[in-house]
Amino acid sequence: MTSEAMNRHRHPSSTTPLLEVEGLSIGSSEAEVGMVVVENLDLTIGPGEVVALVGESGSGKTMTALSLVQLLPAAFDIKNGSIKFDGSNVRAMTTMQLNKLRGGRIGIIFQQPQAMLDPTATVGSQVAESLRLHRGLDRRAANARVIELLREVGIPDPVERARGYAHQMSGGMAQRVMIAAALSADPNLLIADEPTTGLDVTVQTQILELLDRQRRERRLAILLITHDLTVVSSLADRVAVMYAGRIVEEGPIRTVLRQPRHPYTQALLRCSILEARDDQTLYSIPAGIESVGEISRGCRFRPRCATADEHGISEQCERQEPEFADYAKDCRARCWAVAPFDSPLQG
Amino acid sequence: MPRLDPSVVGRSSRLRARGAETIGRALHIIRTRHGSFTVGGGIFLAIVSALILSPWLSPYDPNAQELLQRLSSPSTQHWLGTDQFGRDVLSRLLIGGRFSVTVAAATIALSVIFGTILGVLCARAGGMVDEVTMRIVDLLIAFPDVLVALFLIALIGPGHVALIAALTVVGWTPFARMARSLALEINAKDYIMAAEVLGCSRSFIIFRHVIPNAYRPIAAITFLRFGHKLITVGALSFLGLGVQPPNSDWGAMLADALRFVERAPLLAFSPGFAIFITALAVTLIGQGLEAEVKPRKDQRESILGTESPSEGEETMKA
Amino acid sequence: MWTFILRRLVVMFVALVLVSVLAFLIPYMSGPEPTEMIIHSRVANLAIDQDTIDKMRIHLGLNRPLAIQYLDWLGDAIQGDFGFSFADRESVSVHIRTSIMVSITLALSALGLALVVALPLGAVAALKPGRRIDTFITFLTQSLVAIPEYWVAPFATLVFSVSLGWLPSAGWRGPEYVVLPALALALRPMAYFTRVTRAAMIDVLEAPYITAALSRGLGIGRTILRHGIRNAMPPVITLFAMWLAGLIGGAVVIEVIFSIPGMGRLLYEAVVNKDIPMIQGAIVCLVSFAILMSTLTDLMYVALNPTVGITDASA
Repeated sequence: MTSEAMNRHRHPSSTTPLLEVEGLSIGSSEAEVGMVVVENLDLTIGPGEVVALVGESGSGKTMTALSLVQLLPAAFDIKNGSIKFDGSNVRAMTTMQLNKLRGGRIGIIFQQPQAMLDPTATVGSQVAESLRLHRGLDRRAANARVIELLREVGIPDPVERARGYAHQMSGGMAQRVMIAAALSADPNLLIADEPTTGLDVTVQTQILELLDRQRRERRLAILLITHDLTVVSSLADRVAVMYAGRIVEEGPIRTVLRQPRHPYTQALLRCSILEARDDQTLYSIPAGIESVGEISRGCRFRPRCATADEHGISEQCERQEPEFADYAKDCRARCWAVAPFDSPLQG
Repeated sequence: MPRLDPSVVGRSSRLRARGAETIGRALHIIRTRHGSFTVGGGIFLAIVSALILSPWLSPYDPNAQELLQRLSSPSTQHWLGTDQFGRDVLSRLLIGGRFSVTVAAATIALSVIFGTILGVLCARAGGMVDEVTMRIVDLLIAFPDVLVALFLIALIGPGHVALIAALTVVGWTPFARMARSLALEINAKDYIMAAEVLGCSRSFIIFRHVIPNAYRPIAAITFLRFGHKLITVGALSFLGLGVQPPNSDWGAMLADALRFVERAPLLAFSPGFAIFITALAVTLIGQGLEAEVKPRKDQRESILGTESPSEGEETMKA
Repeated sequence: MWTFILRRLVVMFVALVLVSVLAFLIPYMSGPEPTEMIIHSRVANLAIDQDTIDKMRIHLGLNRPLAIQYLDWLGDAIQGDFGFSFADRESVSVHIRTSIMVSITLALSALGLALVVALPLGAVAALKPGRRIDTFITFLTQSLVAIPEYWVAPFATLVFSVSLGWLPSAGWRGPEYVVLPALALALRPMAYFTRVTRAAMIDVLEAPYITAALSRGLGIGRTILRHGIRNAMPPVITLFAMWLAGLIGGAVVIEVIFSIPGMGRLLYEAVVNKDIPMIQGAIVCLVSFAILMSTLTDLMYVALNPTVGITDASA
């Protein structure tokens, strides 16, 4: 790598956004199936910024994440849109460039961390893979670094653990290992796809703290994908809420969480434990998510939306897909019930 | 239009209608089958027809020697040339093939019948009978059949009947296993219980419910093993343990021709190719059937729905 | 699971006993004078007079009940003593010992070759299932399965030995002698190994840790090499073991064609020459070996997959 490139790696320009996604659309590869998973999605992440992508399962979050490193499963394709990482066009990259990108500049961690480890290989060797690949370390140097990394992520007795295997680890420990592996080559962006789902609540907090610490120490940008707003509130700077393949609301975390404008975000908030009060039952959003594939006119959320009726705008909601309306600094929502730079009609 | 008097619409027209319906059904079956099946089936039918008709098709008497024409190359008179005694190779192939294919077919037929019946019985009987038989099956499965055949022929002497007997002794095992597991599976199915509750007789249940659902995997294994048996029969004949002179089959022809492989390669090539193409045809049929037993599933390999690899190996082992 | 293992072991034991009984009875099933045959098999020198025969009859205890004789014979057999071959008066166990090594070498070479080709072929087919390369490979395996090795062998010899002179056409005097026979023997197992590798690999490639490795930038090739193959091995290994058991005696035709002094040819010649003690020894060894391998592979499979052993298909 030239020294200039190396510099860019270590310190990406603070004015250029690290990740710039514009108009991303993902659908199924086979024309007959014709499913649309993500539609016209825009997303920007600056260096060192933590952006949360929130939505239910099936909303297209994981697909978005995978598409950023061109790891979509064979059944899906990127139909449209541009993905730029640190100025480079990801979609135009060759396989070699992509392999350098993955792990080297973008790290990913997934759900179910134990399944993410090869059961037949030692834990340490898998963490070392990135190191040897992207940093060119020899076996001894890599192993030493692996022990350090494992210690950094808070794994007790790292030497033993490195020699051990996946089935000997708990979920929380495995996730730490995955974080170590993903960050081992010092990437600029970490994509965390549901990193705490399925883990114990205490372990969840630990993992989030770990991520926070790593972020601060490494100036790491994080794309945090989750369906759980509690996870989001502690870690994220900005949040984007996804529904049925589109972003329906986004903005700085405090603004959105304090007073969400989109009915879906409001409903999500009500669902989350943040809002649960002793005398109330947990709120649940009526009916399951719609099949993402069905392309309908009008607002996707209409069938589950109470606000539309309350405002008497249901006809418009059914007729036309809402456009983005900026309602505060850096905040916008896709809803006919939201008037630009105004308090919502409801008051 | 004049009304048809039912008494006038005689048997012949009704039969014709029935015939048309059967043809239609057969065509439908062929068209909807897997590709391997049709290709294999076509080739196999052609071969079998040729063999059945061989006494009429062979241009010469397979044993007629014409010493002036020894080891001649293919010509208009002898399409595949002649062997070291001047005998026409094509005729010998056609007549010899009858032995090869018949021995293999007989072995498989006996194995299927014996194995399937045993398997179904085990499934019904359960208990010790089941245990013991299945353990025997587990054991016999590992044996290379050439070896067992060698041993048995050592005891009872060579010949095609001996071959059939020797190969059947080990050959029934995969069928027993498959039939048993199918029987167990089907017995537990709801529509069987419904039929029993409704008072259907046992044989009715077997014929109308069990067999139509069970035949396909068994048919698949049958053809796959058939292909394998053809090669084994060829091998044993090659070693001189099969059909005895003056009769000859493909394996024996191959063995005889080895001495002349430099001078007349076609002599050795033809019987080997005959074995190959016939085995290929039946294997294709078997694979076509197999593909339907476990359809699609990402075009994955179907090991006929069995769990243990040694069971799958049934269709696959040497 | 343990009951399964126990049952399997019991079966193995019973089978071994059965085989030994059958082998013991061979002389009694194959000729008019079994006792003389037995005597001849235990005596180094064929030219013995009637007097010696009678003495030997008593010495070997051939007028005792069969069951006792069987135990005697079994005792000898377990130590590897099957008497002397009728053909060359050499001890049967010596013959067997040398032949088994030859057969094992041949089998391992053939299966090793098959595996070396099958693994990459199966992996490639699994990468793009249903596409052209996969269809081609599947077609290839379908054809290979039907190829008789005794058909390929002479022609391979013709090309590589007679025409090109690169390899010897028969015999067993060095490493180059194993090439052609191993090649001929490898074709069919290659087809089966490829199919199993493909199936196993398709499953493995769907696993999360493959995506995880790719996300670290490993590239599909390295991922398959480091993570794919290892996890796809178990069914392949089981198949390999089964084929190994089968080829030890089952390669007889190739051994005959190439004049290789292996177990298959040993048994074949014994059968043809009615060499009773040799037949006994070879059968006992080969069949015992097959039984052992079969039990081993079944146990291996259970070890890899502890839920197996319930042979009844559950509803």
